[in-house]
Amino acid sequence: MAQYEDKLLDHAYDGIEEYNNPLPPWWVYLFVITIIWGGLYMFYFHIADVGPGSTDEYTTEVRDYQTKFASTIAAEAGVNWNTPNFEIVSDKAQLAMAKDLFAKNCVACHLAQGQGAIGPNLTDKYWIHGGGINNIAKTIALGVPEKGMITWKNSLKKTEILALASYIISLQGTSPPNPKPPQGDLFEEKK
Amino acid sequence: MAEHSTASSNEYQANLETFYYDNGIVKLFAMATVVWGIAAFLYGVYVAFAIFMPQLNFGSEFLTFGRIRPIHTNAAIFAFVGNGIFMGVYYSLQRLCKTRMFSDMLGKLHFWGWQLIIASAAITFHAGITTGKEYAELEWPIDILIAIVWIIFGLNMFMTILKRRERHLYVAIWFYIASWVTITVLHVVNSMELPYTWLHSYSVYAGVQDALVQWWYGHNAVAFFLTTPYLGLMYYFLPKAANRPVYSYKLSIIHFWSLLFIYIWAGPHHLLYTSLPDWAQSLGTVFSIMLIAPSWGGMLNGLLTLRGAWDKVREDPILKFMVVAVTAYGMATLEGPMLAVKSINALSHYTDWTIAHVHVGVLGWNGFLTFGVLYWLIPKLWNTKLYSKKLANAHFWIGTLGILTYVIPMYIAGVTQGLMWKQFTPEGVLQYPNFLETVTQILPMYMIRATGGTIYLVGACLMVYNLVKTAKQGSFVKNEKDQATPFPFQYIKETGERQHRWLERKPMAMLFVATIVIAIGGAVEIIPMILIKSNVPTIASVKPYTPLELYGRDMYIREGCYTCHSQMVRPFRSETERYREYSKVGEFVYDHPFQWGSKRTGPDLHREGGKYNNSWHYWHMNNPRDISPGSIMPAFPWLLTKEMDIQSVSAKIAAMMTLGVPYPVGYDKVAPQDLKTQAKLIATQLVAEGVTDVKESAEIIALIAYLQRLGTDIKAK
Repeated sequence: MAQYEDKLLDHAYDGIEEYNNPLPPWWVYLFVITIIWGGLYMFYFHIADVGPGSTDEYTTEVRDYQTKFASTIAAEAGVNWNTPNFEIVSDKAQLAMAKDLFAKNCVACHLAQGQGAIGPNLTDKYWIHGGGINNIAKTIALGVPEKGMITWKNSLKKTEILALASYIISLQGTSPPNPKPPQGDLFEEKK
Repeated sequence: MAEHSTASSNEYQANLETFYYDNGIVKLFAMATVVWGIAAFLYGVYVAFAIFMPQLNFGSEFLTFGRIRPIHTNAAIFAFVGNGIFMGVYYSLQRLCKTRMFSDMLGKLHFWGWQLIIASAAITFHAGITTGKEYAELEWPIDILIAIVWIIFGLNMFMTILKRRERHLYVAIWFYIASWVTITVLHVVNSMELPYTWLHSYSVYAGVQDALVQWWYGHNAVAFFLTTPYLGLMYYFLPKAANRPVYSYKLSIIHFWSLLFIYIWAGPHHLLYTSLPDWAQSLGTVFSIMLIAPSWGGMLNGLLTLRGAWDKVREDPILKFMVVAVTAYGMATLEGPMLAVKSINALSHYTDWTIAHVHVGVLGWNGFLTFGVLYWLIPKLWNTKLYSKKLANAHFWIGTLGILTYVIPMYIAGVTQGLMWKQFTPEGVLQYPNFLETVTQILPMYMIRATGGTIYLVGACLMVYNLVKTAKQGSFVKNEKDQATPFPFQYIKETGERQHRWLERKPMAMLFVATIVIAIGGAVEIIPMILIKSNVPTIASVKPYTPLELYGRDMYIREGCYTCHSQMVRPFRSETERYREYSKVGEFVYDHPFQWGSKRTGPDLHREGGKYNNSWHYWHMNNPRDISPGSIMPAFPWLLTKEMDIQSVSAKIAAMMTLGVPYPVGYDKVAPQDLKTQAKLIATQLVAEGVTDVKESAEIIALIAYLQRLGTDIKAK
């Protein structure tokens, strides 16, 4: 800024004087560039209508996902939840993972030890929508929206749901404190 | 000061007029600034702790976060900065115009009117009386009072300007004029509301229109309340304190007018990726970027004024405060436009990043400039020296430490949570599907932030002590004597006069031009949105709220749920996976006012309807931690016991009908009956789900009805 001569204007307000310095050139360039950028932006997105709108971006994002995970999506979509024929999971690592899932997703309604509160008690032998791996997995996957049970198949994979159902079966007979009274029908696993 | 006038007008010595400045009104506003400043900081510290310690509401509705947070924000903006503006204007305007204020009486009315507004704000917010529109939460009778007091202020200011002895208006006064007229327009347009009781009203705008008007207001409250009046103060007090000429008169002109014109357009950047039409969002983005240079013009003129005075800055705490204030202004006004870029906003919006950003502005720019002005002004008013320069220096360092301890953790929290919300696993599912996980992660940052706020408050308390001691050692000069030549009848143009000089001696013309300049941007954005129906595609399945749901919606507004929950699912896969279908503009056509929110301390609620059963909400409201261990949401136990005022729903429905919501003719009369029927149904469901002691007429029933309705109109598509 040394090149400016700092010429004082011949007015003062309550003793405040003003220099007549020119605008800093870089400031002017910055201003002009942002104005040009603004014009180009409006032209690109709205006048020429080339740039994608918010919902176009979303469509692309979803399409990319569907392409990248096509096989997984197809496999998950192909699961028959209504008349399933699953095997109970006994793998320790899987059950540990399921315990973690339970703590994150289920305790809000079924409480930490599955004793039930808003949702039913999961540790007794009575089941509203049927016990056993197939019924429990189906209830988790499809949910019971009218009663507040979430449809979990949108956020959990088949393997996770099966592990979770198996973990819940492992809670049978644990008799935690303050259990919710039994609801539904007595369920005996067919041997 | 007196010497200057005398020296520069020796030949008119005989003509000199003697007059007295009114310091009494400046003193009143200065005291109010300090008192409300401390109050605003105290409330801030309280909410900063309450956000991670929900038990701090002590089970009382009057102390709950959703009600206290608006008190904090409104106190900081309108009580602390508001009184700061008036203090600075009443002091500088008299001196820049070389005259006493037009009317001592109007000044007093202005002062006590403003304090009355603040007191009623505190009372009504604690009581849950709110319009639910951020930074415009005050209900209609107080809105009218604001308009009256604001016009009194304007009248007093303009009459003072008209009886001035100085021919031309200094740049500070341009900013005062522009701020006054813009705030008038913003307040009147955004506060258009239909009262349905003495203390309640509905916004006349609905959904996307309400959102646009609200953020045109909200953004420009930042622009024309927190920024332009304070730039005016900077232009007076900084050269005064530094005793240096202003760097560039030309820069003042260019950045003043460009700031005025461009600022008003930028409001839609608060609504990026929402249901607001894309063209309006883009205007918000480009005008925000174009705002960088005009904003920086102010910063440059401030900082470059200090050229050759940096040795003084090292010595003088007043200048230190001012330098940090102007620098914080420059940082915030660069960051703001960056946050207005859609790709950055996609990450930052709804997170604590925004909170960090605004606190750089208010704690740094407004707070520090106010402190600087107070340290300069109080010794002048009491005709003495500052009691302790050492203490002021200590305040400077403590305050700076407080700001850093506040904003750094908030930046970390914002970026961390923003990234967690978007994080997918390699299998393409959300890494953190449980919202609570993303909250627990940043709790340590909330704790550090609360410490930062406390440090800032401690600094401000040191200032109070220092200022009180200063006043005690001096004697207050109520009427300060000055002399000036009378306003000359004839004016000989300066040689080579530019056109702007003409405007500087025609205050009414300046007011007129400023009004036109600020009206353009707002008009281009808002008028089409209100007139053209095609901007709001209607969806046939979207129906008005039932009386019970509407009642519940008013509970949602009363408890300030919008301070922590958005109702706007953005079109990102990370959001549609978490919350389902993104929000459509046509879903909000009956929302008077809109409740899109601006911060997600808790999850988005737009698709909350049907997600859980009724008893989940019942117990969750009673104590969120019974349902979600580790949740930081406050408990709302009073909702379970407080009775609904069922008959009042008639007036609510009638008001909605006046606003064009298509209920059948005469529906307001039968609404209470419909409300009871639906309430009975929900109560029966609750009992069936095992809840005992359900009160059919409890407010919780209405809130559950509303939450279960949210976003369900288009769900079964």
